[in-house]
Amino acid sequence: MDISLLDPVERDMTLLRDLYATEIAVNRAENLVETMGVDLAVQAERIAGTTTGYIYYNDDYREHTLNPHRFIAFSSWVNRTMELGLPREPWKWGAAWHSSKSFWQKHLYELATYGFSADASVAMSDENCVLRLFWKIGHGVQTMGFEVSKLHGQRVVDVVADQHHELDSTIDLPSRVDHTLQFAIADLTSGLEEEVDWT
Amino acid sequence: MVDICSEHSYSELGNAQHCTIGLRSNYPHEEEIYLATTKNGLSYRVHKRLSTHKRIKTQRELADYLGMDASKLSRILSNPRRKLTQAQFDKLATFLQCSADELEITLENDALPEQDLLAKHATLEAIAREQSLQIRELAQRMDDTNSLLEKLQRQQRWEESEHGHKSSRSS
Repeated sequence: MDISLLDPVERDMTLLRDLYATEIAVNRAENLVETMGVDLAVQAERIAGTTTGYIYYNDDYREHTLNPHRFIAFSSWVNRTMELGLPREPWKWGAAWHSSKSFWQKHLYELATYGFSADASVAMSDENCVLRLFWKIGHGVQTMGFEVSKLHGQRVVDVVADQHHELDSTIDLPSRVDHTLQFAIADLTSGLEEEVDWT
Repeated sequence: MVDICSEHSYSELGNAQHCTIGLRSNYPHEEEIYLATTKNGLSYRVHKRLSTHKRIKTQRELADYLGMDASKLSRILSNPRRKLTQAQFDKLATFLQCSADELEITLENDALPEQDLLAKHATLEAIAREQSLQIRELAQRMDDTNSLLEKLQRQQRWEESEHGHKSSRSS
């Protein structure tokens, strides 16, 4: 019904009903986002071929300060980092961890263009590395970290790069591009010198 | 969330009369018969449910079910600053066939003045827009992971066959 046809009292009642319906819909959508997020995590584990080490969720890439409370380390990661004598928070690994502007610019560009990115350049031991899978979900970016062999890590990174090339040639690409993020990359990475803002 | 220890009371956050809605009896709408007595969200939901419930058909029967007298129920339905005990809240949720969260939302909204309702609408709209984007992108990411997995498996098979060829050649 056209709400302008209603008198003020009826309009209030409609407002109340609409609000109620919207609130229920928002609650249901929240559950759906959570379920789909779990499905995505399962798929990511299949790609990595191992269980998730940690998850870092950046709620809004437009505010890129590191929020340590959104870092969730799982038992396997906690035990393994302890075994290796490393802090469980990878951004405390010092020189081994990336803090360069170009690194984040590259990954933010891939996230803005394709919606996903991967990195396996950080070594964890002589044989293993940290495979990081980045997913852009709305205005949030979810990072999942895994300990994998250097061989598998490189394999995943190659496959992701291959998928990016494939997407470059599809008509689907323009609909994926997040222009807001693309335009903001320079601003987002301008403060990055030594400090790592993205995990 | 529902705090099971607390009383369900919704204080007036402004002038609650702004959202206490009295409707004309000749409202030309499909729910005409209920709107004559509908004054707010809870009242609307209760009257709607009374028309479909198998046993409880009147407000008096509902009052009996809730363990209170009819006049008290009438006051609860008409007053957006109503107070419900946990037992009444639970029974009402069962009667309305809704979750505790849903009933909580209805009670909260009734206690809001109109400008707060509009502000809430705007906030919810922003959340819904973000959720819609998230759901769309999550679906896209799922497709992406499927493609990545297929590629990965293909590459692994190829590496294994290459490895097999090499070892057979060397032997």
